[in-house]
Amino acid sequence: MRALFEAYKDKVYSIALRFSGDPSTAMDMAQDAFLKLFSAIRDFRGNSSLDTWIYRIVVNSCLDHKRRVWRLIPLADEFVATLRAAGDSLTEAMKSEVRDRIWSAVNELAPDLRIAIVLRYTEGLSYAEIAEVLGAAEGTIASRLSRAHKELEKRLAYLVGNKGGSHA
Amino acid sequence: MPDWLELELAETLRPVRAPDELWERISRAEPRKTRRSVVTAWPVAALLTMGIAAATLWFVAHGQEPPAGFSQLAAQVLRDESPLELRSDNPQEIGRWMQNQTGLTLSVPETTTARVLGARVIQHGKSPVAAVSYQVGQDSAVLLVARAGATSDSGHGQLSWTSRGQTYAIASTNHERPTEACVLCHSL
Repeated sequence: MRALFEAYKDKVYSIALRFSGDPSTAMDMAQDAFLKLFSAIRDFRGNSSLDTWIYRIVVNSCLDHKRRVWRLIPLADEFVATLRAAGDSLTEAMKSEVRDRIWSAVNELAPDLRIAIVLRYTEGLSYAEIAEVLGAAEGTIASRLSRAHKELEKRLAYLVGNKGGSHA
Repeated sequence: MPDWLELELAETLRPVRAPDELWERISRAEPRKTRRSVVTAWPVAALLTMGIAAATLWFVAHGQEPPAGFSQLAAQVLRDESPLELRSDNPQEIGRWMQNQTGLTLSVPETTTARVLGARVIQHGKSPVAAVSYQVGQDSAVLLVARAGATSDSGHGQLSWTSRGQTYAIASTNHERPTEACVLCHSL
């Protein structure tokens, strides 16, 4: 069990964290996923790869977990700290601010879109792999990701000007 | 999608290391038990009473001998926390998926007091068995479907039956009134 945990802990926790946006919730989700995994591992029949099977368990734990209120970012004190920062630390603070905004926008996506985005960008899964994990057609996944991208682009368009074209 | 968004998503959602205390939490933890709300006990009890009546009538009308072994399998599947292979709350989608995966047919009514969660296929001997998971109030339930003859045919009970060449069994986490699972197909 420990070896299995060590092999998959980062994957499981990363998906949970990126899906929930909250470290405490992610710990709950990861714990839940591993408990399910340990109790069900004897029944793993090899019909799919072990990775796919474990991804399904994590995804189910994420989707089953009650959604918590998203922490408003930045909090007032963090915002003040951002304004007071100087030089490189100001740049870092602004980058962090952009990431928080993006995280927040991802968290506002519907769960089925959000989990597809997380599997795509956190785990780097292909459309076919995401389709296998979620038990949906590849076309459905392509459609979900396209909708998610459009929603994110719309919600984050205001950042383009603030970013100074650093990624253009 | 613009390049900047692609890059920002990859950066913002990059993988992270799991905290060291995760293993400690897992090794301390006990499997969670479903809490049942007192508030929901009344309607569930009413549904179950009607469910038992409906199931009894159904079995009397059809004259089938349901297999006890299949009911036990349903109870095992309910306890097994293997992930769903298809997550869907659409009974038609589940029916199509089941047909493709196993050749079994299932028609779950759209209007029901149960909430369908998804399905998976399990192997029972050499035969595939479709398992449909759903919720009734606070309780989890499962419906198994297999070809008749693929399961043991001894015994008699309210929670499994055979019809049109297929054998069915249901199980619910409500051990006091397991027939609440009947509401998947019986609108009461």
